[in-house]
Amino acid sequence: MKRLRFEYETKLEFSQCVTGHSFTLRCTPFSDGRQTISEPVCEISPKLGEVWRSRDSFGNILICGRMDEPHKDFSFKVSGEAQIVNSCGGSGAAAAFYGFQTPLTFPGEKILSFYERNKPSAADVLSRAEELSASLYEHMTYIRGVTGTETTAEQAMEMHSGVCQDYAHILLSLLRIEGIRCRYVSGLAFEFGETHAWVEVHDGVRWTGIDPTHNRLIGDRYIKLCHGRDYADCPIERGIYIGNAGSIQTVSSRITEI
Amino acid sequence: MNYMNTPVADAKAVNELLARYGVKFGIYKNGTFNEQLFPFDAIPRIISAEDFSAMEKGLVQRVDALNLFLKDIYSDGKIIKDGIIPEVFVYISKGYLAPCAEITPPKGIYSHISGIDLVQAQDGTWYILEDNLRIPSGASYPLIARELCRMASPGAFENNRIADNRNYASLLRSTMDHVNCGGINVILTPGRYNAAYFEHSYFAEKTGAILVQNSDLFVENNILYMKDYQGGKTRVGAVYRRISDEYLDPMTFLPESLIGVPHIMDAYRAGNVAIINAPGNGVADDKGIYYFVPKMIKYYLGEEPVLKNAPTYLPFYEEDRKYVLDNLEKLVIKDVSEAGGYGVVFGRDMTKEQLSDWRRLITEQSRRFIAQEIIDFIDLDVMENDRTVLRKADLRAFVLSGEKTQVWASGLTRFSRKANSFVVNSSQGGGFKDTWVLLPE
Repeated sequence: MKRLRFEYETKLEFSQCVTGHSFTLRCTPFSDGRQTISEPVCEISPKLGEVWRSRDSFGNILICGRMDEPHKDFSFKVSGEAQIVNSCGGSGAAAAFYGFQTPLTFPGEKILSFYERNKPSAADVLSRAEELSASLYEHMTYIRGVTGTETTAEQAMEMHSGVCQDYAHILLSLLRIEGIRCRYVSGLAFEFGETHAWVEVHDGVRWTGIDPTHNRLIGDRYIKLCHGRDYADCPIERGIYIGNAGSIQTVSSRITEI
Repeated sequence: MNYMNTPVADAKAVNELLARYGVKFGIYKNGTFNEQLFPFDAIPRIISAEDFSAMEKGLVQRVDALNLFLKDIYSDGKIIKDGIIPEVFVYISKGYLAPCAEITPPKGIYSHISGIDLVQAQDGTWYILEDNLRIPSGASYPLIARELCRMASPGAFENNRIADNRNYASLLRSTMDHVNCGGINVILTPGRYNAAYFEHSYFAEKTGAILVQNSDLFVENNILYMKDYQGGKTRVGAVYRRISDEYLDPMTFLPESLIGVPHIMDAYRAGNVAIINAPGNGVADDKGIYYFVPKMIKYYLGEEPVLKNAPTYLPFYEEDRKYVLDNLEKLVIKDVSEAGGYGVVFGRDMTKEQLSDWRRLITEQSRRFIAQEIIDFIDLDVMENDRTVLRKADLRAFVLSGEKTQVWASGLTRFSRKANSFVVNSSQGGGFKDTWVLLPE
């Protein structure tokens, strides 16, 4: 068991003022069988317009808001304490939709042939998932900047490179071919200064986190912020605004042991 | 048939009135938007009281079962667990929306306005062609045509016992009121470049709902509001939205949507507003799910289906696939992911090579297609250059689910303007007729 103090902040700087800004944030971690979150605080800046809470169908906490007045920057900062009990996720049934491919995970020729060459052999679900994660880890090279948030699993497989989001999407695709229910997770991990993405696998009883980027089960240094069938279901920040502006995003996170 | 008692003599006058009233249908072709008049044929389709009463029973039953199916699929999924429908047909459907899981809409109604397409075979039997549970359009056309025909030839309506169809607006209004969560009713339109803009404005006028575009609405604290001219806000209790699911809320669905209302899904999830029809209904009117509707009726209602499906085969099942491959020449193939008459091909129109291409496609992508026997549906008389010709026609019946489920005693009869063509969709250039339901003697 570990007690962690976390702080996570995203700043957006627009190249010029924007108005009519609506946003949904999935930046607030919630308690499940693995992590117990106490007193999470979310601060949003600038303080313009209304902010309220909602939930989505995947169980995530949403912070929603609207800023009609012109503003040139936008940031949110979430902090709190997490108690992590073990490496396994929450227990309980998995919705059937976690067993089906999405547009981002839909396998093409490359993934299908990779799967044929690397069919897992173990009897239990978690071991098969670990086998797939290991083969994938061997095959892929972690390279920043070659993929984006809209890159599909198949495209990343074709380049056999990408970042944590791509590793997660490919593993989800492979697991679903294998008939295993699984989901995409966004969160914070101890040694990264940014957000991280990994996969949770359901073995019929409970969820277990696997980090394909590092080819290991997630340990007690990972804090989950949100989950869904793929990245598109649960972006940490989604916003729309009026204004012909580009934006620069900076993300920082800090986890310390208490 | 003798048309003396119908508005045929005044057809020209009625079409001129329709043009003047702006009864139009927009079509996108090659990237440009064109509005065209929706050609009206003055010879009505006539449905006897007896025929209608059977049809009514079957439609109410079907729509009730479809509503129960949607409620089930977005909660427990009992019909899957009980092995009636394979789960793959539900979750692979483009119409299934995971972000709608576990949301129960106000009063548990998903499909408030259902447009059920039927055809009548040569022997008089009615068959269901497809269910439209998302935003079925078209009720305004027979409604305004009737209004104009009454003006042009009032005698026709004095001399015939025809069910008055002018109650559609009040049915629609009470359907909205029934699920309204407190506040006003609005009709949300994408604007005048939408194919059915005429209908949106017409219904707003007839039901007293306010016609709005997304910029008139906003969400705050999970409540939907309409902006008023003084900068104030009025709470909205029900939205009859005429934009499709994927554009409804850029915070949940397509982020690039410019016609949606950010956070409307949060207001809906919180139970603070009714969305008519509910998002996610596409899973129930999917062409693949169609095959299972008679099974749903038995499963949820314990009744035998009153109305028949057209004989349908799912290549997904080996036995059906074999039949389809062996009999492709006489079947119609439909792509389950396409709507509006797109993605429909007839085996009899194919060359040898095309047939073998299709056989390969069906084998490779067995979930993507359904195959149906071609129903030789009846031709109706249509006026063309002052003489009558025979043309294929279908019927879209409108079923409204409010406090109870009711069938509108009228409907949109669409006909093909090409001889021997079975494609009647207005987006493919078809025309329409009024539908007269006769009152019992």
